Amino acid sequence: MDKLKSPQELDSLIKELESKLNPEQKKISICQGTGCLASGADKVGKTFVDEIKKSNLDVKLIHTGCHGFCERGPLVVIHPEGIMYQKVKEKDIPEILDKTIKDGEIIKRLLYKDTQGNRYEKEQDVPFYKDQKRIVFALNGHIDPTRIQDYISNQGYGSISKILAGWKSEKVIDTIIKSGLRGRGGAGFPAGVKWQSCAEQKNSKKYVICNADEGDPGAFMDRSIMEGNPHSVIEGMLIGAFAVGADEGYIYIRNEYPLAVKRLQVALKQAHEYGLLGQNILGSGFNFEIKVNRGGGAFVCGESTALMQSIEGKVGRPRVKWQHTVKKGLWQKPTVINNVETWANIPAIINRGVDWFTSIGTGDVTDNPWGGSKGTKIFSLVGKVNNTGLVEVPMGMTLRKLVFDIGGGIKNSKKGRKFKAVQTGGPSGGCIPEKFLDNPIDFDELEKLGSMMGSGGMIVMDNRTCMVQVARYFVDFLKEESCGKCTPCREGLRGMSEILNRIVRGKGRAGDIDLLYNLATTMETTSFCNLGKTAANPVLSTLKYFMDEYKAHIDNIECPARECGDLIKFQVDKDNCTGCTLCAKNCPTEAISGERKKNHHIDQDKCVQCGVCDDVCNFNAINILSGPEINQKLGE
Amino acid sequence: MVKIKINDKIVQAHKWETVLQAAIRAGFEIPSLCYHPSLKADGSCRLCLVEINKGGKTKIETACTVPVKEGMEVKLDTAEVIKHRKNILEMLIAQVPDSPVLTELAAKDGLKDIKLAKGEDVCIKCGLCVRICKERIGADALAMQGRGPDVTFTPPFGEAPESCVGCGSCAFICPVQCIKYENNFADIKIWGKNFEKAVCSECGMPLEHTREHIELMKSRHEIIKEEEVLVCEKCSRKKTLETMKNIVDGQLTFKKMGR
Repeated sequence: MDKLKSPQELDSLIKELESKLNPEQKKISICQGTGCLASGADKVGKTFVDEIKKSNLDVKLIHTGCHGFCERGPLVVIHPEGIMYQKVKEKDIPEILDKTIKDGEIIKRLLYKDTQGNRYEKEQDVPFYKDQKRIVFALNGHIDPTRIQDYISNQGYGSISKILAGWKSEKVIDTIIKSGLRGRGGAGFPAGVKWQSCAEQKNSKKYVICNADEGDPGAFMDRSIMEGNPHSVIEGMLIGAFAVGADEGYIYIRNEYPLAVKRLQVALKQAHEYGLLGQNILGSGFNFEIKVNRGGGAFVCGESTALMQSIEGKVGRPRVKWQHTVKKGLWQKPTVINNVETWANIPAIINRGVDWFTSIGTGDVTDNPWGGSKGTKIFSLVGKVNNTGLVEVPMGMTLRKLVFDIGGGIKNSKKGRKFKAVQTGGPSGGCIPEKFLDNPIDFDELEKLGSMMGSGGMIVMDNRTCMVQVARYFVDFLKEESCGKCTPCREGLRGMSEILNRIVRGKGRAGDIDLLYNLATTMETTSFCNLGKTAANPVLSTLKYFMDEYKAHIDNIECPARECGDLIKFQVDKDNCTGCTLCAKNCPTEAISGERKKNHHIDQDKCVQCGVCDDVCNFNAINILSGPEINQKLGE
Repeated sequence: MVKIKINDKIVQAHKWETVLQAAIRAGFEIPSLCYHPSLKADGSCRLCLVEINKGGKTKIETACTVPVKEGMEVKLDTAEVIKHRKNILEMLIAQVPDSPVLTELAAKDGLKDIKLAKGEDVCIKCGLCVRICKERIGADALAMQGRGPDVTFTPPFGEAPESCVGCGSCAFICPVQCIKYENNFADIKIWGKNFEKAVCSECGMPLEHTREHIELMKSRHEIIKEEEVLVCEKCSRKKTLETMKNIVDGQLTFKKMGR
């Protein structure tokens, strides 16, 4: 491929590739995201290639990035109809080709089935997808991330072409400010305002950085963007670099994302070959290079100054910020750092305009970029919901809609499991209880509730999730990930971890809650960076909404959610037990004994409180006891 | 120069100073463990908390990391500041219970009851040792290792450090004196390594510096001449005296001395 020499050349290439797209063409798009690969999509993809060759069918096979519905992988979607098959195995492939591709017949057993037993033929009708609005993920299920032509044929690089054909940098910045796009990495700082401050600096050398050091437990939206549509990130960075006057960019990505690293490297090479990176891009005189910098997986390196230290080859720890990084950032030069999802939003905004973007979301950003939350946000919906995966929804959607419509409600609701809380914002976020389910999700609302948007983790918890355990889990995570530099974060987390660990073991003390509050306020006020400043959030928000659970642990040695192993005992309910022997068969320590069709019994000395008996019992015959009732009911 | 207000006193400060530096120069006392005038601010101990008024909004910040600004209003020892400082001191004392420096600071703020679980550490993780070794000495023999509560300050891999020159600065600067350092007549022991002291080229007496330290200084500063450094105090004084005597006797003039 010869390098493209002008925006006009690129535009005609877009038109040419677009015209070659045949909307009637049969296409099989098979997800090759990390989630689906883990459940066998690699073999499924290869088998499709072989089988199609054998069958001589006129069908195009696309190995795409993540479709989002990872729980149901490997996912296969057949276009143009949009028929979605889930949990596809190698042995299903000849049948798919034979029936669906050849004869248009639907294979019912491969369709998605909801908890009520309804099956859905088309992807767009599946409740998980129906209410989503996909901007960043728009192309994820449609293009091959290793083919730049696929991206270009969908208006890809059209935005940078438009800009290089005669836009001034002020116009780009103005567009981004007016769009109200706020940083998707967590803090929600208006991206355009950040760009403007950087553009105002007079230095000849400037940098743009893409923060791809996604580290929140259970969050993987950035990974999926880079795996599924790496060119959108590159185009976003190109636009940003042009706007602020930078000629060098870095993508700081964790090495634990090998596939994303590979896809990015392929994409960068292709962009170079097309003349979309390098010197004199599209003949405009604008130069820009992107380097991929792999990180060692330290959570703190997501903090901007620690990330820059790491790129500079130093130990990744936050440094003193005498001035903002837009003035003195990487190598003391003006630097714009944005998150992957923020960058990936940029081309769409330039392409489709401010009015379109501001029509999605909440608030009014006409005169104030902080005035609302515009566009969409990708959440990784995980935990005790039926449909887990990545969802992209317009800002302002209620938590209820997200959890119950898209998420399909709480898992095992037939067993009496109910929604308790949703944890947003990753380890530094907070838990939101049921009474706020109808609140809209945006930057400001979540903060009002004592949580935050964060990078988009959303962990759903049911009535069997102990909130003290939740706080303990996140505090222990942060204790491990704190860099150890400043006293309040390092020692405060150590102190909190000690207290929470003794509470969940039933060894809580009378003053422990005051002590937690005391540590939390000092950590919030005096920590060096935002990791420490927000590290107390999981504790504070659970204390705020679930104080009674803490008190039950400390005062009654009782775990209301029946999760804390040291505080619970299992007992067979004599009235409900039918003697089906299922619990005895599944008990890993052989603690359950009993004859068929007779009441079973749990040997407390052998029981390790794993809860398998309760999970498998179909007759609600396992009672979990905690607190004073242990002595009352087991005191025989 | 800029004018800032600390408590009720107007203080003149250099533009490049931090609040801590200006306050110290003006005679105020702010407790701090990780600050040293010859090193870059690090802001790790978080003890030098002050309350800064920014356009009517007060914010607690560490004085060592905030540059002065015209019209800035700073308050020391407000109730809020003392509360947080006490909490931070408690966190440190819980881990390093036997340090006289910490005990003294705690007594000043009236901290008595340590509610946090006690540890048996001796190091307060201020990082001064690593910073002086890198920034001033230039040996870069120490590093902060590990993460979170397990962070330690040691030579790489916990072994005797290759690039250590035995200058002893780390032990000297440590506010809680937890670095083992032996300064003997003819050698220095530190970090499990034994350094011989250089000897006086005139009388053969051991000098204060190790041979390795002198080599490092020479490589970093051209101005340092070996013949000037490799002389003990006594011989150096003797040499000066002889020179003076020669001048007085008229045998040597300044011109002849080449100055």
